[in-house]
Amino acid sequence: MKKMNSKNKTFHKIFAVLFLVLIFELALFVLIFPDREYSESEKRPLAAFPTLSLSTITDGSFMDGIEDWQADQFPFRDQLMQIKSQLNIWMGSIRSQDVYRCEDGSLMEAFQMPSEDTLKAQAEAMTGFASRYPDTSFYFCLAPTAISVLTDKLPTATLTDDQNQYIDYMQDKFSTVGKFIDVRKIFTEKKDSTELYYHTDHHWTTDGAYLAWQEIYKAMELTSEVNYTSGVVCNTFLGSLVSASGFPAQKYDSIKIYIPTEEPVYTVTYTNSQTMSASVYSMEHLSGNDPYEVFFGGNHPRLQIRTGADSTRKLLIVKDSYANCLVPFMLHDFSQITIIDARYYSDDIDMEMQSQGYTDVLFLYNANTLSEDNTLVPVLNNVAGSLNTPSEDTSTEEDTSEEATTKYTIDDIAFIGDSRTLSLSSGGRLAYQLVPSTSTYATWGGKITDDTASDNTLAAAKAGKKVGIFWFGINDVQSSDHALRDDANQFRSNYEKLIDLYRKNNPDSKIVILSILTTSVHEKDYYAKQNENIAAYNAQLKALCSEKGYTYLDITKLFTGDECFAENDYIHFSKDWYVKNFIPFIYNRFNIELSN
Amino acid sequence: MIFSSLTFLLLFFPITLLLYFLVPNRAKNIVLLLFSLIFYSWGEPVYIILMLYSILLNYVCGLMMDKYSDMRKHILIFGVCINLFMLGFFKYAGFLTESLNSVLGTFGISIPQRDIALPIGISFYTFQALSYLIDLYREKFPVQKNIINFALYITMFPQLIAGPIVRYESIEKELKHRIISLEKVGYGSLIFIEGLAMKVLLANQIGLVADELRALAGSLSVTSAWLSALAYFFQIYFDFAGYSTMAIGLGHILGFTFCKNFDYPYLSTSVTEFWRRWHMSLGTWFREYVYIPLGGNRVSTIKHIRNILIVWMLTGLWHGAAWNFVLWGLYYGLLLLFEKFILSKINLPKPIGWLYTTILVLIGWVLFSSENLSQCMQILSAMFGIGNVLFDTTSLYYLMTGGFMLILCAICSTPLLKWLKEKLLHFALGKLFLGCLYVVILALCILFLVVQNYNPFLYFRF
Amino acid sequence: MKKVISIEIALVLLLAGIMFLLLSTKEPRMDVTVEEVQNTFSSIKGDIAIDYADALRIRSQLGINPAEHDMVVYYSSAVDAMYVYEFLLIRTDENSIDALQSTLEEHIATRLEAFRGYGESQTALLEKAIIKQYGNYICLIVADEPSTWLEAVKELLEV
Repeated sequence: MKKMNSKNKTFHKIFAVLFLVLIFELALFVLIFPDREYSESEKRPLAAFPTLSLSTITDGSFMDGIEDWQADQFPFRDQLMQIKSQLNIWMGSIRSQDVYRCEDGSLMEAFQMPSEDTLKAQAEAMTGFASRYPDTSFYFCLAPTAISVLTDKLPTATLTDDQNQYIDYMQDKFSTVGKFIDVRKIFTEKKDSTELYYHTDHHWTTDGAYLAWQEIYKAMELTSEVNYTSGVVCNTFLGSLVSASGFPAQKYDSIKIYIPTEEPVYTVTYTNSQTMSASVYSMEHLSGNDPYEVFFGGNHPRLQIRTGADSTRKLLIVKDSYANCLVPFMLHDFSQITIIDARYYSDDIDMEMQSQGYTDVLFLYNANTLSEDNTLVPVLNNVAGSLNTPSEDTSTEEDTSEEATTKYTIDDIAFIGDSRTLSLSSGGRLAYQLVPSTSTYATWGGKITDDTASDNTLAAAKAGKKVGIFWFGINDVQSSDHALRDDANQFRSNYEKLIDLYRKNNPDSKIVILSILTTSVHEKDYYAKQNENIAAYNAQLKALCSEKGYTYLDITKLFTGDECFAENDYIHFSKDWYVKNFIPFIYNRFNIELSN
Repeated sequence: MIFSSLTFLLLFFPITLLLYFLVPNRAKNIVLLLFSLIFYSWGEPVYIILMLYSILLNYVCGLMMDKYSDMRKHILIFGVCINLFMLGFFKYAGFLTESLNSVLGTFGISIPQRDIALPIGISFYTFQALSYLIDLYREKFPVQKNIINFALYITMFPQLIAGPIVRYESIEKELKHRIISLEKVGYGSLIFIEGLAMKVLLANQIGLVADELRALAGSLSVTSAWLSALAYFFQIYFDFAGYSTMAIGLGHILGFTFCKNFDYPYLSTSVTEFWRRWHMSLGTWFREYVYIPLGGNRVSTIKHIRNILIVWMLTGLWHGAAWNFVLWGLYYGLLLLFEKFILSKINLPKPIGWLYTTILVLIGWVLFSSENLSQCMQILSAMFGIGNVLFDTTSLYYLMTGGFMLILCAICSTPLLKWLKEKLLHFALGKLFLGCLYVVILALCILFLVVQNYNPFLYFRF
Repeated sequence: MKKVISIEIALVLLLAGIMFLLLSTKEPRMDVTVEEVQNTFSSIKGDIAIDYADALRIRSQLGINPAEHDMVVYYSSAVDAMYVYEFLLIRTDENSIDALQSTLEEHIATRLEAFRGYGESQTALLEKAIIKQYGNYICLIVADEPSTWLEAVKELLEV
């Protein structure tokens, strides 16, 4: 039992008053102080008073909300944070939120080596992508950041990993498919004479970018000769590392722009917002939250620059924000520059490559951002994208090498099926005339059990073609023949009978079965119901092929949504779809030369 | 809600105090009970119903024991069983099914696992309720007929969530009549600020280092491993002792006198002494209600050893529903036996005793704080130089950036500051200085709380 | 004697009742159809410009193969990657639910990394994103008031 001695009675009484007054006054002051919505220094919205309801009380979110509201809305929070940061520094802290603070006050972001899996995935995605386009030149500049270049500024003991390991690895892997641009040597040489990196931001300065540009110029064997003068556009720049770490900045940074002696002519189109601009600089951002956004207004999923340069070269840049201040140097050497930021890009990059005909592709990243990135790999691998992507769905396991290299002509192929097959040639309502009518053996509305199906099959077999491509099913899935409609096994055995008929009359022909594609899910419930069984039917077909050694081609990827269908039609595809998807797929698969 | 939060300091506490001091004496208990319930439901809005049930159960059992005194033993057994069932189910059911499953798994049987939330403070309030029932049976005090007062005993917010474990016997009189004075408020607020500083300025800060180093478990140098153990060593002490100190301070402000829970445990020169200075209320509880009923040391040596081992395994288990806690308890049980039967024959010089105790305690905390057995082995083997270097950049980094904090923690683990305080109180200028110092410390704590967003109390889920 | 036993029984029953109340969880309705989800969502959507996604978009934007699960309903922006509003409801079997939880958590983490420091409004939205499991269902919501959308989902699933 702790007994309280009455020796210091008055002291305790006075302190009691002091304490109570303090607590009550502070509590009142905090309550009265008006709420703020946004914090400039933390660059985030501040918590507001939480909503009060039975559910927010029972799940505790109201209470958590009050705690957040109190902390965020405390009076003079920003100033208090500065005091705390300074206290931390006095107590020996040199790191906050992965940002190191050097003796001279400059801030640098720490680097963490990515995992083995990430390294492999990134290298494979990049080399895989490059090898799909052997006619394009590939370049990769993986820039070091301040933490590995300005090493003498760092405090004695840090916990950062070695960036050089990462850059060396990527250099090693990428050199097999393109040129790797290593700026480390020139940076180490010039680090004392040039301010390569900002003191308060994770980006390189425009001076640093210019040095890197000179290396890229050499590697890409460019020819333009332009002189620049540099000018400061902002000298009150406080970068991202200040708000990320909470360390106070020692002094402002300055942002420079390089002005060429001859002004290039160009237009910039921002794909997402559908806007255009006549300048790569966005001066109004200089007075905003992040003055670095003067370069292109920040990051966008995709933008395209068309220049008046005398060049046939077209460049695709896949980048992070380091490239933003470097691209302005490139306007004289390319007639077209398209810039993609993988973090925000959700389109088909292979479609991009094929449709635009780029002569050069440049990957421009800084080691920190790329080490933490997991958006580049899926964009490059483009699993859900267009056909030139090798993927596990497109072909079956039994892809013999003989098959892969045998060339066929369109006359070697017999297409056997229903209206979707008939549309290819000159029969039926749609008649797209994409293949000769001697190639198709089909009937509109043909079900697999119809006489027309067996007649067509027989005729196709008698034509003695090398490949028979069967594409039945869509009419059977919603068949009025009830027994057929639900029973995938029944469907399979009927299909089997048809193919046996074909093989009897043409034993040497290759047999290919295409998977059944869906109908539209919209509009009539009737059509949507058709789709319910397709998976089961296809599974049976796949099993059939696997058993009998036929080739099963899963063409699900060719279907990209309702826009595949012909106008006002929910079951038949448009000509465009056949031209863009079906024909190239078949032709590619059988190495048929595309004539147009 | 926790004491070291802005919500408590600037919202709950001022409002509670205001009303508590304004209402007449007979209403003070109801006000305090009400706010204690709000305090508990802040963190546990749904499971508060369980605590309310516990109050009802134990109150009714108490009344029954009083009225039907011939059935007292039966009622006691009933009450104890239900209390233990509640504690066992909500705290240990998951652990039990997991352990059973790992054994039954080899036979292909598995009991379905359900994630049951652990209600905050259930270990504390259940133990308090048990102390009431058992001591009532022992006729140490009259039954508490006023349900408000009884509920207040169970739920009083200073000690509800994280102790100290207050035995009913010690505050029975103060429930009805206690001294509330400005002097006690001042005395209590000084203690409260001391506790707040221990938690916010010391425990939370050194805790950051402890967490970071523990995450590197597989690749620690010898120095780094010892640094990580040392950081946690200080973190858990200041965290828990800080909280108990705040509870005691709050108690004084409200007129209650709680016993101290920690007495500079890191000065101990033997493990036995350590456990007389660490979490004293728990040790007392186990002694009173488990060790002594089992016979304590007044039985044969074999049974004596058995009693000690039982008490220590239960102590370990009380701290958490996982095997590392049981092992931790067993670890200390064995050490205490060792000291009792072997070491007591030798006269160890104090400094050696202190060194040996501190090292053993450090190792004990590694066992206690590891997330799993492999992490524990990694850290321990690193500490003893198995397969690693003596010193590396990481060690240098943490020594340079955490050195100041570690030294400060070491100083605060000794009575040095207390001695300075006593000296200063002897003269007026000293009193003035102290008053200002405490205000500055309070302000610093609030500063730290505003700026950091998250500081969970370690002994919370108990 | 009897009085004591009866009080004890009453106490035990009370405890049983309380435990039942606290521990019983409601199983969600298993027969929810795509249409019902679509209808529910149209009524809470407001003027957020996100569309129903087909299998391909589900695969490319989420990395989830809808063929592997019982039912997948996903709404997101088809055209604008900077528009982070999302609504996802999946019904699957109990073995796949944990993997889905990690996939979705990673998805949100990746988005947050992409926008942190650049897009404040997106960061704010993503930080209050909800991922919740109900039996064999898992739900992902990125919205201004995610709890409102979640309430609608809970109502639909009858939990």
